[in-house]
Amino acid sequence: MKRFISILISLILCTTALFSQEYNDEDEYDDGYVYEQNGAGDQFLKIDLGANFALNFGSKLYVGAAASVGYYYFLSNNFAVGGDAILGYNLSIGKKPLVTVPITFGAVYQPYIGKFEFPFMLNVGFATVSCQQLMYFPALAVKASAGAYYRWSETWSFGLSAHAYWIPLWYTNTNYNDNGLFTSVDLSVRYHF
Amino acid sequence: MKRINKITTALFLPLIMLFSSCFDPIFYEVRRDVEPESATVSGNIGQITRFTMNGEEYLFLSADGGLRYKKADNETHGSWATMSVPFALSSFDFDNTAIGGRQIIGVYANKDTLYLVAAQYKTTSSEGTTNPTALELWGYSDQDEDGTYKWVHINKDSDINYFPIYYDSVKEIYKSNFNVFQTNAPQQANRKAYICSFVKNADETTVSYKYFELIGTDDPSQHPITISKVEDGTADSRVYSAVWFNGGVKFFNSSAATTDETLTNPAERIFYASGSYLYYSTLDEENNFVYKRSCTASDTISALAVTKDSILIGLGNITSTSSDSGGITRVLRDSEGKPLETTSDFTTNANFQITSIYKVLALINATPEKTEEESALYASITFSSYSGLYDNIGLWSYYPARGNWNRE
Repeated sequence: MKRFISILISLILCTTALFSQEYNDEDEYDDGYVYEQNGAGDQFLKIDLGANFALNFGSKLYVGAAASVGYYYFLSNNFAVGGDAILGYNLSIGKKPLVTVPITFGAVYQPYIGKFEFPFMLNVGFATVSCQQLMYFPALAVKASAGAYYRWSETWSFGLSAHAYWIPLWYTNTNYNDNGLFTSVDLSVRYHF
Repeated sequence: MKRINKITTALFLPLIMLFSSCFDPIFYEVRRDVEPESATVSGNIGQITRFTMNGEEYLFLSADGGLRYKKADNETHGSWATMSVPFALSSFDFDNTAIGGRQIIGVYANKDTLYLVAAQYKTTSSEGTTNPTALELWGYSDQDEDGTYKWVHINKDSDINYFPIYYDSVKEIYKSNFNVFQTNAPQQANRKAYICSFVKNADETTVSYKYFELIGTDDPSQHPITISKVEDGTADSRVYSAVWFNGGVKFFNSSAATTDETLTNPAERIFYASGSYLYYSTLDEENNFVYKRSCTASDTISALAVTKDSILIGLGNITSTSSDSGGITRVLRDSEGKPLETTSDFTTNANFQITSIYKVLALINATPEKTEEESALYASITFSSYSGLYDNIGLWSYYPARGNWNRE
């Protein structure tokens, strides 16, 4: 009796194979929809953390750290506008912390290949520069950025980004006029919504 | 309504930015920054005192490690020696929860004697507090004029307590209300030092100040003085500083007063500070000796040092324990030695090394006959803000050969 029940169960399980249908591409319904990772109205927030390099101070500034936050809004599938704020920190040779905070607004052009996205940004805004309780505010700030991201999911992408920003300081006494050129290389995460 | 809000915001945002604007030459200063030298003279240094010993000019001060000194014409970093003192320096005995020895809290000098004010403390194990118990006055001089200098505990057997300490039961702190001041003149013969002590009046709330001149290792009670004129106050004003000028001593309520005396020439002008204002002495049209106001500093002036072509101005309210601004600035002197009406930027890196996060406790020019760039200059600094570096607290110097300000 036990043997009969075992054989019966095996036969029942095999019936699904008997009635299964072969896969055929020609039978798939195509409505012409192409999936885009980003579209008009999409937005993202991003956070970057990395190293900050002073480019035109010789040995007077050590390699420091940078952190930034940003928000962008897509006008089309690969063009967005928004702004971000960077906090740059570099110690001087005399161990004095130089803090640069450019807050800039601009546009992003972002082509993508598969799940890889490559944003290029150009921003203009203002900056605060401070060191040893000396301060310059507001200063002009111009920033260019580029990055490479992997779209991990619909809502998250991770990657590397690099920012280069220019902060000129201008004075009535032109002897003090100077330019600060900095670049940061960052690990970056973006939240898409 | 939304449009009005946007327009208002658009108008006010630039205005806010304009009014909060600040344009310090930061990158310019960063490019002139220098690598800090090792800090060899650290701590809160209240005075940098000139003293002549065996015919040689020295600078003395109290710092970490005790009594420190160097020859005034020595312009090299790291050359401050330590002089032995006749008592153990203050230290904490963890095993017995007791504090031993004495802390040097002031170094002063007249023409022939170096003076130390040293404090003893006790620790209360029950409350974990350290309280002052006694203050001592020590003198170091060549009493026998045989080239051998000896220490003497001057107030050991005094009938007068020159440094009374009392407990403020309301604020629960120990207070003292004495001060010691000196002319600290470049020329040995013009150096004088004084104690300002006090006694409580019968009403127990007011005090009367009593002044004594320090002469040799005599008990100060032998040399009480009456100050009839305080240059920047009334006869009743308390005296915090003194200068040697025109053959005598002039007393000031200001804690920052000095002259343009050099190692060879007598003083032609007195400079003193009142709050953030700098004053200088001059003769008016009727040939009367008067004081005139020159420049205004950005904060309370705490110390002054005179060079041939400028006056260095130390900033910071040193009587305040609260966090406030400090820094250093300078004013140029004209061909008559008068300070100009506005301060000037430094040509050195002084402004970036001693910024407003540090109070200046003392300033001195070891070579007052020279211009600022040619002089050996010293400044002692302490915190005025939480953002200062502990390693920077202590003595800073400018040497012409080095060409910049750096830690001493």
